[in-house]
Amino acid sequence: MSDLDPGLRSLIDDARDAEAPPDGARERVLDRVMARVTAAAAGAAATTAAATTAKASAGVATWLKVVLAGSLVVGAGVALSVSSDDPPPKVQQAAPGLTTTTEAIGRALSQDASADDDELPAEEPASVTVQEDPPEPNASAVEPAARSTSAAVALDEEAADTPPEDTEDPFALELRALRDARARLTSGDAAGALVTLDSYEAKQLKGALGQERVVVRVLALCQLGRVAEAQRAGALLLRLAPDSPTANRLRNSCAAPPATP
Amino acid sequence: MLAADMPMVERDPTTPTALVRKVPDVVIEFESIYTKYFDFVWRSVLRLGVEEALAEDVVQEVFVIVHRRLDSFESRSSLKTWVFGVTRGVVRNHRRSRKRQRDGHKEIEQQPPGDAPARPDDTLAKRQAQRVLYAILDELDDARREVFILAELEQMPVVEIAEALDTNLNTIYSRLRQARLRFHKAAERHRARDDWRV
Repeated sequence: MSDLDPGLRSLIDDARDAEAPPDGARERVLDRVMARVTAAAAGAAATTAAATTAKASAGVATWLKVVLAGSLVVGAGVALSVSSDDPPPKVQQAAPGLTTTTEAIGRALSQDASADDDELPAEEPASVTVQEDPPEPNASAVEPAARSTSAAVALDEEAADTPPEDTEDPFALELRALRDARARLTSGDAAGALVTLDSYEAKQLKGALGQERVVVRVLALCQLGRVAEAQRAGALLLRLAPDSPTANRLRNSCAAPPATP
Repeated sequence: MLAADMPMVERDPTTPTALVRKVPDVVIEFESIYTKYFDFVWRSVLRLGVEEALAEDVVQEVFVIVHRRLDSFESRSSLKTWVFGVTRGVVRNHRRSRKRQRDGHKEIEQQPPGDAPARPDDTLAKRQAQRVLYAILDELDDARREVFILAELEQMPVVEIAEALDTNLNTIYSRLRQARLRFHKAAERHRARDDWRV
């Protein structure tokens, strides 16, 4: 296909040898890519949380307006009934209605509050604790898979700075663990994939490929039929990085959150 | 299930195709894309005219976008051509931004490729060949330069080049013919200037 003369071809070949990236560039760039991706995901999560808060505030304001308007209407009704000699059947009917409305408001507000609770489940702070503090004696009460996954997702840059025991480059170590886990998963050995991930994460939580590790873990759990664990393992990633390609992978797995009506 | 297991995926190990939209539970292997195409992106960035001192920043930008857009990859083209498309867009933006900077600060001059920090494994002759090659590529306009890089430097089939550049086949053939001609002429000029002796 090439019509280049041998001299030019030789020039291109020589130049190619000099085009190799410098030592360490691959790792440096990957670290920076993952830092930016993680930061973007955290920013998106914060935006979502802010939008949820704003929505909840707007909901409260709306309900307050309803209460205020309702009070005015009821007040006017009471005033009319007082000024009349006739029995006040409508006011008496309105009172239970008001009670019902108040209860509904209370229920709605408490639902809002519980919805907020759903946005930030109780176990999330526990996962943060795993990153920053040494494990507490009762930490074993937490299921190992969920614990390691939460830490892995919340992960990487913020994880505890424990130096690797292995003298191998940490990135190479993580890459090897991930490849091994994937190979096992591909060959149908999902349990083996989990063992590989657990073994890596027991030594080293910090890494550039935390999200990919979570995906392999979730798919392994799906393959083993451990759907609840898979959903738990994927939940934090879906919440922290909902727009990431890894989150899309989870949505196509058994860990996909149930569709909301 | 991994992409490599998909029956619809070519078994060519150089094509870690991601099929996230077509098949559930497929792992889109960003890590494998990064591992496989880092060198390709690196040299493409340099060949498209980015100074070596800024290559890391530009390559980083390419992979951030690859990561962000991975779920939109639909396997209509090969992953390599898709990655090149992203690279090309990022480099064009970078060059526009650098041009604005240079226009605003005349004292910032473009660093010639040969001025990048020397590395111990580089022989002088290879660095010189690289400098001459990039100088010749600089004489091509963007459209012909891209076709030439993919065809002659990457040995990519013309059909794939057409996909990568989203251009029809005849246009690619035409650009390649012109690019070769201009490349030869530019090389002759460099020979004449004794910048490069074969």
